[in-house]
Amino acid sequence: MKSIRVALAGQPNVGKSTLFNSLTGFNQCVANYPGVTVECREGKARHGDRLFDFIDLPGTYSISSFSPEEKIAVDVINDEKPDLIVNIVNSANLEQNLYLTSQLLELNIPLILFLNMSDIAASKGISIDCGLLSEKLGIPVISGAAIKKNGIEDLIHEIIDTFDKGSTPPSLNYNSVLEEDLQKLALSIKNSSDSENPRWDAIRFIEEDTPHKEVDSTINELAEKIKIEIKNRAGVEPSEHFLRERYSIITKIAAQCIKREKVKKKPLTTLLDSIFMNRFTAIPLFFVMIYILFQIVFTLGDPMMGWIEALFGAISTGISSLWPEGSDSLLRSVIVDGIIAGTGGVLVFTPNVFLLFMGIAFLEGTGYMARAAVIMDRYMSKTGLSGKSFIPMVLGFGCNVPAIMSTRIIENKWERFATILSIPFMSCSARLPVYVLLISAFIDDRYRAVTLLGIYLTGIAAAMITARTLRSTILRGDENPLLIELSDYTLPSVKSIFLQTWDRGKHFIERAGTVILATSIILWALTAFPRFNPAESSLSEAEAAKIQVEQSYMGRVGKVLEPAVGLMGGDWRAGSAFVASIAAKEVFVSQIGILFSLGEVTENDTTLKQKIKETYSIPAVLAFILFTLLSAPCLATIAIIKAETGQWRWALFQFAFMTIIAFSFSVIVYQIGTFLMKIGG
Amino acid sequence: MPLSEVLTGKTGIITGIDSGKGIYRRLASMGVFEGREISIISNNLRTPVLIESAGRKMAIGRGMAAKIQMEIN
Repeated sequence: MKSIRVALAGQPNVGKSTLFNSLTGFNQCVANYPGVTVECREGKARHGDRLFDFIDLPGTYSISSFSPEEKIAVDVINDEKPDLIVNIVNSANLEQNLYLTSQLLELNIPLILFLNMSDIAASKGISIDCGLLSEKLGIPVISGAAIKKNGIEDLIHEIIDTFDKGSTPPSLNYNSVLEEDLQKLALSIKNSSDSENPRWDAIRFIEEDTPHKEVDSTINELAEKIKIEIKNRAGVEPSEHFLRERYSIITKIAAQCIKREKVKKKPLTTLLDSIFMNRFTAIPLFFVMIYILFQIVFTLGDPMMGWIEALFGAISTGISSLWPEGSDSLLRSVIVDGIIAGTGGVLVFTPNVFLLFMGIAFLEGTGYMARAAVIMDRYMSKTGLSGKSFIPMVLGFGCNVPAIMSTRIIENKWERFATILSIPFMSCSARLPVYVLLISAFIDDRYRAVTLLGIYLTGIAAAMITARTLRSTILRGDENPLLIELSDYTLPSVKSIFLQTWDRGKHFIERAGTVILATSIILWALTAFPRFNPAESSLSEAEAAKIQVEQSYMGRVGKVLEPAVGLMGGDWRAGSAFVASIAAKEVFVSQIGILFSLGEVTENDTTLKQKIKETYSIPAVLAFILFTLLSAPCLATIAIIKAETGQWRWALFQFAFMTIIAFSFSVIVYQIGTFLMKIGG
Repeated sequence: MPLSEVLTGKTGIITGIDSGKGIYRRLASMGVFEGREISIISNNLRTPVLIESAGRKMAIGRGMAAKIQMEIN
């Protein structure tokens, strides 16, 4: 038997995902639209002998195709042509929710209204007369609570019944003059086009929603005439007239069907808001939340990172052992030093990414995320961003990759892109080993912490300036004032957190993985070729490694760049270490170690510190630090910028922009520093 | 008076919204439009204004709130 295709539509914060999850279980996938935050999930289910295909539309307040979510919701309805739509509404907030319902009624697709969160409504003293509501709207109405699995069975039965009957809902009855206009226009559309729903098209013509399709000029003329008539008659724009008409019908129905009783108990949300949104406690509590999130992501994630590192270490040892010891097999080198080291270097972030998404899913699910955006809005608006950018920015201190992925909570495209492009200036933890090495080579113990703080503050300032600049130039975008619903606080289900985390997390592995694999092989090749064959001479292993890198393409690039790096006080060693650190910032440490013939070393190696002190001046080291801070963080970040913006040009722009900024400032610091030292003596 | 200046706890009717079409429809689809009664949950004159309209709580940025006119009951 053919499966029933059901679209779930609803406004945000009505528990749509919870219902979708309980209807489909884990048998679902996400259809992603590159460059937009909107996700549209699909899932199959079997109930009794019937098969279902569920489509979870993005949550939208209306379907007038203005925001990206609304556009996708409309496109999916038009393209997928569902057999039936289930409109989920929040019972505690029915009147507002019926606005979307009033539009869905016009689509000529069988419609069922699911009154979700009926338990919460009851606790607020709200009761809804389902029979009367069903009669007034002309569609089946089911009441339930998805989170408690109430009403799900009833809903499934109703879906089957309605599908078998196949009756489409009656459209709303507007006032008689407007109805007459609509019918006239609908008739004209019907006669001169192949429209499947002339009445809906007529409404949209008058509302000016869609860019006018190629239609007969008579339709356009008639539509214009009707619009002018409405404007003269009602004194407002036709779209506003429609909007008020809809609301006046809704308000009437709501007044008849909704009964409110006074409840003495203060709602939990009011109580919690008086704490979390209080003018004195809001900000401290917000920072406590961020701190906890940070602790979960990085403190809890670190041991897991260790396990993954150990796993990759074991794999590479295992594979290496297939060759005789000391073998310089090229195949071994490409597998171990290229593929395993490269992908391992990125996959090592997997625990952080998953923990972060879990934390975000939880905060979003509880309703706190919306409040956090409101709390930080005042401060962030100075940078041209909004409160929603704050959390991604802060997460950048840990790792830029998950931070950039977490910008999905920002709906406005321009603001989101500006945040994505500013995050890489937030100094991530991979840059720390480089600072530690360079700072401790020169700076006295007492001033190290202050220097480090200075570096982080410089990064923050750079991010803020970048955001401000982008938002007032190329990423100005449309006006986007803060307008955000504050839903009641709820405890999200473990299942929905798990599903959301998995949905988002697996893209990290898929998307970053593919690009990283390719680029790590390229970077490997640059250091591995041309091959250096140490004659069976007295060269130590460290010496041989140094010569291999020195005469490799990477080393040659470093030498070619020497004049440029020289402007910031560096030599070819620093140059090729910087080039290699494009793979990941911490590679700088091991690369420069190799080039000083020390073999593989860490940032705490005293011989390396000594070598650096002998080779470079203080201004040069400061310039290196600045370059590390301001240049593009790593390949994974570039790859994720491409994935999240959907375009290579943003990733390349970012890379070029950061390199230019980093180079210019490093040169300035080195030159001024050297000049001052000369004067000083 | 503009919504941004209405103090916490007051209730009133929206009398005008001075914004572009896009913003107008965003507000309206969330239930903020002329003739609707709203109450001010919190307005500290510095951070976004928290309002309630027919059971829905919302935060409106100060810039936007300044463009919404209301008449206090």
